[in-house]
Amino acid sequence: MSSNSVYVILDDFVKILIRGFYGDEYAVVIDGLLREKRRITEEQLSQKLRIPQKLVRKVLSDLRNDSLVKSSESKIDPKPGEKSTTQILWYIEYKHIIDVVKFKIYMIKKKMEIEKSTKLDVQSYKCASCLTVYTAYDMAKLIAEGKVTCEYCNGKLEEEHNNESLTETTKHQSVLWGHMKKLVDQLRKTEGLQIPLFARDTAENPQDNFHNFTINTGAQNVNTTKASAFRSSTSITTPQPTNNSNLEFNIEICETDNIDEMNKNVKKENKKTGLASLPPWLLPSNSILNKTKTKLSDRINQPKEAPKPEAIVKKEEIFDKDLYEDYIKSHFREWESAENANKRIKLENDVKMEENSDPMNIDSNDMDPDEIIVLVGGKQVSISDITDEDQEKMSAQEYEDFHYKLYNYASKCMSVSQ
Amino acid sequence: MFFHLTLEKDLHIHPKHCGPNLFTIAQQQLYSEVEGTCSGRYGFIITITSVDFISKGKVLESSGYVVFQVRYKAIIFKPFKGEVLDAIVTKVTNLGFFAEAGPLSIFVSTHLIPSDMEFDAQSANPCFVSDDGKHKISKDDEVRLQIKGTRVDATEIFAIGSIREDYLGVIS
Repeated sequence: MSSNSVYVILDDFVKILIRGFYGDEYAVVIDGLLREKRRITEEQLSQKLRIPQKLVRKVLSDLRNDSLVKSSESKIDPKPGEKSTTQILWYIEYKHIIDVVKFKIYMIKKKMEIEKSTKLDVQSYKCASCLTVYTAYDMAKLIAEGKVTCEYCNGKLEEEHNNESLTETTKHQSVLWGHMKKLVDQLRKTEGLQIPLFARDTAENPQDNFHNFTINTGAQNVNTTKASAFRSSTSITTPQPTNNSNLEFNIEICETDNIDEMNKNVKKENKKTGLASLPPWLLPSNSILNKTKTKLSDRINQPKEAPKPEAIVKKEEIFDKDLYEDYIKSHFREWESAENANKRIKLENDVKMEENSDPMNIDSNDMDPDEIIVLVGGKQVSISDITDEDQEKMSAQEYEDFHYKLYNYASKCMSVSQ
Repeated sequence: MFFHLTLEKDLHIHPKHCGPNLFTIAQQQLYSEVEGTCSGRYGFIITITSVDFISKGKVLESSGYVVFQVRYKAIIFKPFKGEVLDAIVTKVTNLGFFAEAGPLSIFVSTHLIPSDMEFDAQSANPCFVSDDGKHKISKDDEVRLQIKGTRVDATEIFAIGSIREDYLGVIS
């Protein structure tokens, strides 16, 4: 179907709608707007139609409140020395009007059904003498001494036959549908059509943020196919028009903003360096680490320097036993409460050894990192053989144990050097 | 349908009650003022289950009354269209019969009574009797009816019912 015929159908639909439910001035304004086929100000429209601008503004506002006409604001390029101003542009969106009309017809139908059912259910009564009409809801207040009488004249009440009002209601409804038949038929013609843009000027000015799209109202048009990434070369495709009305928007929607992944990377880096979890004042000196085996020193990567007496003195000052004990106790509180009694005894022994600080009492085997065993995924591995991959395999408890043993070893080495 | 709602009310207490039992008197007054009443918005307030909060009293300068903001929980009954209820017939007339479901008064017109039931004025108690004489609706009978519509005033709710549909009518 050609675009011109589509426009004819849609324009006729709008005209029938306006003439069916609105007055003559509304029809004049809408006809003028339909002729323009672009967004237009009320001033321009009033000039073209030669009717007062106030009337045009009133009509367009009323139609906008009924969702039949839309408006948008656009900035006017100011002359040098002037402030920028905005103007209101009026236009019709065919798709929107179709949806609004469909919704209103549905609501009318629903209301008529409710009215019909109410007529059926709610009986009305008439006083025989004063002809006052009551509904079934009023009966509760009219009952007196076991009888239902009129509240004004105490006359007898008689049922009003609902049949007459029912037939009247159905008659009214059928008359209404008869009037709306033309509109409904025109609405049916729009089914399956590809609804075009009303305002053709929007294609020339895409920066005005106008909805620039064409909507298929569920058509089963064989000639058009949706754009598909899997379209084969042999499939039938419609030729893309070269005018400016088809603008493409490439939008990339990411599921996450990758913040979590960045945090994970940071965490991984922390995990890799074994001594990074220790506070700086408890880190062992470089000279101590150089005395250990190559694997341990390679991992830590400390520069090899001979310990200066001043540095040793400073480290003595930094190394506060009370602080160390408090740190160990608070940091490994969960480890202390572990059910494994051996672990608890070992901790207490370690604390006592620190208190005595007698390097001659330290067993030479403790200095050997190969002898210190940690668990990696349930398997026993020497502390000097632990790699980054092993650290990732460790559970939380095993990781803590590893760090604790590593720290103990380092502190022992430091105390030995002293 | 029944609901358990939290409601608020401003209680006006006479200054003569301003004494050691003020809160007790306030609660009693709340019970007497609220229980058994009907509001169009919430329905019939059947009973107060608990008093959650009583604010500090504010003395009104003009009258001397003390105003308390009270928050309480109550069981509410509100009828809805389409709801099926059991009710007890209170009055039978030629235009239909009246039934009560607790505090709610329901009127069932002849139009919404099955067409095979007719009004019998000659019997001692006016009633509706079916053609075969098996079914009878008279005073104090229990009926199951469906609410067809409600009218809500500020302080009252009226309902109309129907026994035309299936499984409705006298409960034997």
